[in-house]
Amino acid sequence: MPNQLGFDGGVVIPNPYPVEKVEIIQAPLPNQVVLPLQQRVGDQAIPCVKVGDRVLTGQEIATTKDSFCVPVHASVSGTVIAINEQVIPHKSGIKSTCITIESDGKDEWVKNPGCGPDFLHCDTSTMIEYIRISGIVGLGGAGFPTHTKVARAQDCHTLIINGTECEPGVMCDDALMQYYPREVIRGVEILLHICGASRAIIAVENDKQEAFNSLLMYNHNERISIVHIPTKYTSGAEKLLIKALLGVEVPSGGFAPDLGVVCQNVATTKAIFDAVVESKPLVSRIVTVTGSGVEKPNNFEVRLGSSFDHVIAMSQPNKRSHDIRMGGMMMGVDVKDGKVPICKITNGIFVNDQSKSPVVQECIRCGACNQVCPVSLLPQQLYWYAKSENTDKAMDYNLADCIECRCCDYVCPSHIPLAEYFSFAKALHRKTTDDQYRTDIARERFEFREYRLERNKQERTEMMAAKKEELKKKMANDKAQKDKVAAAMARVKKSKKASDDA
Amino acid sequence: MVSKKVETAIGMGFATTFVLTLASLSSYLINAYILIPFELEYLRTIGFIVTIAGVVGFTELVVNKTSPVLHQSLGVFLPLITTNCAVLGVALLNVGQDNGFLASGVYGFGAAIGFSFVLVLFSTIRERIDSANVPTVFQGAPIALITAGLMSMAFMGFIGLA
Amino acid sequence: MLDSIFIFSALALSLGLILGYAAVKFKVKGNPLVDQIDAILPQTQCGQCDYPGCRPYAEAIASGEAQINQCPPGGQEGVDALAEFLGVETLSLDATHGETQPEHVVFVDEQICIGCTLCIQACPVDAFVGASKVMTTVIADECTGCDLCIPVCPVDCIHVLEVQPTLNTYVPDLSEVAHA
Repeated sequence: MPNQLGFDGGVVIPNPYPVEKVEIIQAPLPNQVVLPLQQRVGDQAIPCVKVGDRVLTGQEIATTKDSFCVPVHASVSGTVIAINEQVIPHKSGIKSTCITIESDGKDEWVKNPGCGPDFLHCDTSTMIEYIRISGIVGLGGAGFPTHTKVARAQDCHTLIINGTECEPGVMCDDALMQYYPREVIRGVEILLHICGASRAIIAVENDKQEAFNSLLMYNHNERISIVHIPTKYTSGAEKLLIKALLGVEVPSGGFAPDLGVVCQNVATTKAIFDAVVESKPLVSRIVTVTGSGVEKPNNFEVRLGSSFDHVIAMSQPNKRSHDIRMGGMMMGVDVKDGKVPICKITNGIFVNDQSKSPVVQECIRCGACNQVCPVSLLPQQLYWYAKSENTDKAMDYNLADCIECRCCDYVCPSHIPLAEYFSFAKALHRKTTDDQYRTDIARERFEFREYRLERNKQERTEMMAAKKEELKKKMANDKAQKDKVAAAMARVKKSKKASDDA
Repeated sequence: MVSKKVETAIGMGFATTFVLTLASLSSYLINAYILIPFELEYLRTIGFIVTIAGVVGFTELVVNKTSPVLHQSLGVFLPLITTNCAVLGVALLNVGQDNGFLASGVYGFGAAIGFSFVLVLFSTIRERIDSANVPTVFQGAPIALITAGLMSMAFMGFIGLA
Repeated sequence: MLDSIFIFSALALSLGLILGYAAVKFKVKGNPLVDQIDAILPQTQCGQCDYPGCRPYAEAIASGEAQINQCPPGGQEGVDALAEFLGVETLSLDATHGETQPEHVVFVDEQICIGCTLCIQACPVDAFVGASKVMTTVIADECTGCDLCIPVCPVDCIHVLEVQPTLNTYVPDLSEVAHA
């Protein structure tokens, strides 16, 4: 057990919207759901239903070409009314293909295979397959396909369950741990069985005492321990949590499963329980709705694909105009309006009264950002390079390791949106690398074409020369034939003449 | 131009080290076996310049062969090492201090290391200035010269060592 | 006086001989400069620079025959990159060679295509798939947007399609970022 738990960097942020008691409200079934085919990780899924088809809750409506990603499922039963481009919660505002289903209100489920409550006799590859076909991805916000992560772990020795929920104001995991502790513990046991780990650690921030107690009460497995983590923003980042709990540092560009550690969010763990034991695919999640623009911040268990407005309405929004943000004040993305659909990674919806954003001023090189970066980067240096679009130098300074937590933004006295610059620099680097790759291929193809044309010309010249040779030979042959015939005729004439004479 | 990027500054440092060491050694030889025996000390400056020019020409060919990229990025500044007063200065200082063959070589090498060190430091600062918010009137040569001046003041701290 | 002239001539001659020998021994084959200039050019192979491809243009720049601002697909960024590489002053893009178009690919209208293969022969990077009297189509991933196929099509069935940013290729504008 670790005896000193601390995090370098990060900032302590008080909860801006605390509540008296953490609750979960079951949201009513929405009238329609919009399900994007492009999930956070991987290629776009391909629809396997058509407009007009009737679908059941939990039915697979879009599949993936490879087994890296997960399929998309219908979150309500009803009719597919459209497969078209819709706005999804992404900061670019670019539309993406979605399947829209109109609910028939009956909520009829498909019958999926499952292991049942006695799952220990099920073999691990079947369980991993159930996790995949249930569409489970990292519900903490990263959205990485869970089955891929779990299958990658060779010689896993420790399982870490991330119940820290460090994003200030978001309380969906807190609620889940308080109200579904049995499912969480069973989910951990399933993961222990799949990964073959010897122990599991559930990490909970020390301001979530009820959740901690709740889990403690339902845990009778001595391989599972529940641990307090100091309440600090970015305590929930996977690599940082692993370092704090185990003292193991996952290298830059490396993956935790390669070091024998698998880290899963607590909501993902409960979804794994649902999928493996109760054979329920991922069709709903708990979402926190909070902010200065709602009277009653709360957690809602809601079907995926419901619009933001569907749950915001239940939090009693005030009459002022709002800014809506998906995720949190730190790592969230701004959303244009409340019509966008709730996705698998929507852990929180922040509805804030519209306010003027602070004026951005010049960087005064104070270095406060360098002190709070939890990944030990130099945000100030990255800022200068990102600003001058020098992505090569920015990558040298480990831009790829930036988790865009915005701790640097939070402490900047000039209110510079540093994480936006880093996100811009990463996108620019990705594009220039891609462009360079395509340019190199174009050059190769051009050079090959030149070579091919030259080779064709060569072949043609050689072929003509060969034909000419053949023709010459043929003519020579013909001449030889002609000569033979002439000689024979001459012989015949001569013998005739001789016989005439005789 | 060379000092704008760290890679070219390092390359320039290597080239100058190569030139300075060779030039110090060959200058010593020219001085000891041609100028002094034939009492041609008054032609020392010309003789050294000719030798240095030859050494620089040789260096240019070597650099072009080993690293054409470096040769391209140094461009015209490679032959301009000939006019670098440090090279002639070190050669003449060797004469003034009556250094032997090995001592001349070491002196030249040491001076070149110091030069490379300053050049690389200067280039790292210039790289950072490139991305910074320099006021328009100072952009380019002015801020570079101010930087050089500030560096010189910093290096004044070494006066006590000599 | 005479011996000083003689000695110095001898010195200069010997240095010259050493340099001459070194020049032969350290000879570099080829011109790496052309390769490096070619690496900066966008490889569209469109010929708008008045040279039959990017490599001939690179050779012309290296020999001093051509200016660095003749390439529209490279845009002003390409001219600036060439200027920085060669260590010369940058110029503004020469508009007489064409305007920089937004990133695009071409596609064939299959209803109209007659399978004449003229476009296949025109494409400098072989981005077409087809044969005589057979439907022809463009491999979008390989198309560089050089537009050389558009004027040769006898039935005008090749059209331009601007490349739209996707969620994975979206790059925000720096001015938007500064005021986020």
